Amino acid sequence: MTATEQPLCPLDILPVELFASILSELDLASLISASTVSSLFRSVIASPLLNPWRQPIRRVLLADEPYPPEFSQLGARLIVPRHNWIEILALARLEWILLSATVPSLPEQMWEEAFNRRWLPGMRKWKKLGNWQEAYKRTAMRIWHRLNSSCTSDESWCRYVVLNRNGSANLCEAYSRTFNPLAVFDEFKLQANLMHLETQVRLVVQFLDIRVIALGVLHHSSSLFVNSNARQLLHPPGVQSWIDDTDTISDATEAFDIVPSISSQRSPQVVTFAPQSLPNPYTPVLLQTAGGVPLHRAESNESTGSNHAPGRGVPFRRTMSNEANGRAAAGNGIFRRLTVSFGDRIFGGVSNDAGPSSPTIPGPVLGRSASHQPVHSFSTAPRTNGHTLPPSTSAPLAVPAIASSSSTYSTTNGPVSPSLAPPSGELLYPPLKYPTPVPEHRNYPNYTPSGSDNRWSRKGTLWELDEGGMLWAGPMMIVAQLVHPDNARVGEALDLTGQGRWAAFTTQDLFALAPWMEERVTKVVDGMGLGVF
Amino acid sequence: MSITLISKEGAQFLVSKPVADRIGVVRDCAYGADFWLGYAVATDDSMGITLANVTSSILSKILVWCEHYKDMEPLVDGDSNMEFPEWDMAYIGHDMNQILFVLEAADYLHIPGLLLLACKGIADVLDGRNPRGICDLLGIVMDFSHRQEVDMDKENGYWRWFLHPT
Repeated sequence: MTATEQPLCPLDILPVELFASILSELDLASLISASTVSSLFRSVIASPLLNPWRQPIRRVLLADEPYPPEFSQLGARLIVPRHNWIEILALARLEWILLSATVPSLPEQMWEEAFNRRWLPGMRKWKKLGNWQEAYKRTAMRIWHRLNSSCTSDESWCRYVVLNRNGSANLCEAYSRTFNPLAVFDEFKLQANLMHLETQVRLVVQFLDIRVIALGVLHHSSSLFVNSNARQLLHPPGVQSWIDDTDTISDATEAFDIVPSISSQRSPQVVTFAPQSLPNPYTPVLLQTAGGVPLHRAESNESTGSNHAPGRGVPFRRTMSNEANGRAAAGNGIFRRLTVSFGDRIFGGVSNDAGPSSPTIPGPVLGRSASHQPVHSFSTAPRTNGHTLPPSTSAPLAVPAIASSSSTYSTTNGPVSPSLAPPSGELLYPPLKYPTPVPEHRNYPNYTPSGSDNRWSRKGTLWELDEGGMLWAGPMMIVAQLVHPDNARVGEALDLTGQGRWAAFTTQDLFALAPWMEERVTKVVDGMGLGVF
Repeated sequence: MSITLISKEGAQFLVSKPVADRIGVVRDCAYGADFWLGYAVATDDSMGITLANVTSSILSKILVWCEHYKDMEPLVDGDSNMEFPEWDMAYIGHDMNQILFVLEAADYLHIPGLLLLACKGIADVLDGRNPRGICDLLGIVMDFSHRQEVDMDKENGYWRWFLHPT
């Protein structure tokens, strides 16, 4: 018998938290409609504490579809708690905010929060005098204008950061209108005698309107030009790709026979179970059948195939691989795990790839004044000017498959469901919130298991050297590019040819994105200084 | 190792450990804090846990879900736009009464994945209905005061004017 045949009103006896959870699964139009059902519905929907609007709004914001018409009028509704607008202002498309949305009157703190969650810290300079609402709208208009035109009058000089191999960092400037990072980096390569090596481009992290890109070259590990700071930027100390945890746990079983539970992977198999057609195996033992025989559920452990992931609490077998044997004491595996588990600080001393960090070195020091060096002074023509970089250039180097006896290496290397992301309590670094990355980088600076975080060239390995046994050498250039969220998907080939669509990236932004670099960068030179090393 | 779950009516269900681990209350009862510290606790095979608020029929239905997800992670993130698997939607069905009982039991037993699925099931039943349809479905009487009705009309009229200014 269905509910339509037997009307009932059980919702008002539910706890309001559960009631709000049900309402939060509705879409926006249904939620608006439900707010006029009864006073109970309306009071729950309008409650700022229960806030059933949050999830429908997030679903709209994270979807790749155009926003529904009722979304643009949320500001006119009194039943929508105002603090939802922080999320909307931080995640919505710029043209929608500027052209379509009815933004309600919000307190100054909400505008500031939205500003900080959306844009780089270096853009706070645009606030100057005035309030945060004005700063937010002014910045939004500037970025939207620059995304839709080649105008650079707002920011004629584009700043970028160069990480040198001697530990220092240069804060350089270039003329925005003709700025081409590939051409500039070619000059750096020439100065560093690395012109023969191919430029590698990596997406460090992407935000809604801005993405941060690193340009560098890879050299063999015995090179004299190795830049440890470049590697530290792309591979935060102590962080491996999430799937690497399997290997770490495999190593951990050498010390402990039984490890606590880990979440198993979602099985890719097609589910064909039809609840109506199959008998329920769970029948009470004491509920006797007609023949008087108690029914028992079939033992499930035997029925599961050997290809299934181990369940909770199942002891892991020792999986001694060649890699693990070879580098047991090299700072990987159990040693890195121990650093994570018992270290007092994030930057544990066990790491064998420590850069030039030293507690005796003072913090960043601003050097001499900036010296403007427009790009047009460079004579080297960019090799890829006018073309989109092929995926092979922007993607990590292909690494030959490792012959390993460990079965843990066979775990997925492809896209993983976002729901499989480890809870934030297991992450080594707190996920970046100011600014907030796109969902594909939501765990940044930790690894985000969506298949788009390509800072790691190979997942599920214990390779001591990243990038297929090579290391970053010479200077590394870090730039910020303005992007439209619909045209710049994470994981696609990086287009570095956008004329005039480069935003300033300063050391303030660098240290906000990578706070561990603050103690590794020995000196910040404003301008070119004595040159790039 | 297996655990016996006892329903409200006293019916006993023998479940394996991976299935019981999906039920938060059972997991906490069976292993306590030691489970989270990584120690395997030796529990008696004949151990029984009474679930006084769950009937036999609902418990058996819940155990089907736990059995299905004993080796997989269910969807627990309501923020994302990920769709529930086909099996889940077939499992939860459209019977409002049963979904509500499953919802209450999932809340009581602390099964976040099933709780989200039950919320989604109820939301699917309510989705697309106008206020009058929801009232008819749930047997609700509109209890707004005249002033509230005027306010809502004004708000909805304002919104309609925005969408259709002419």
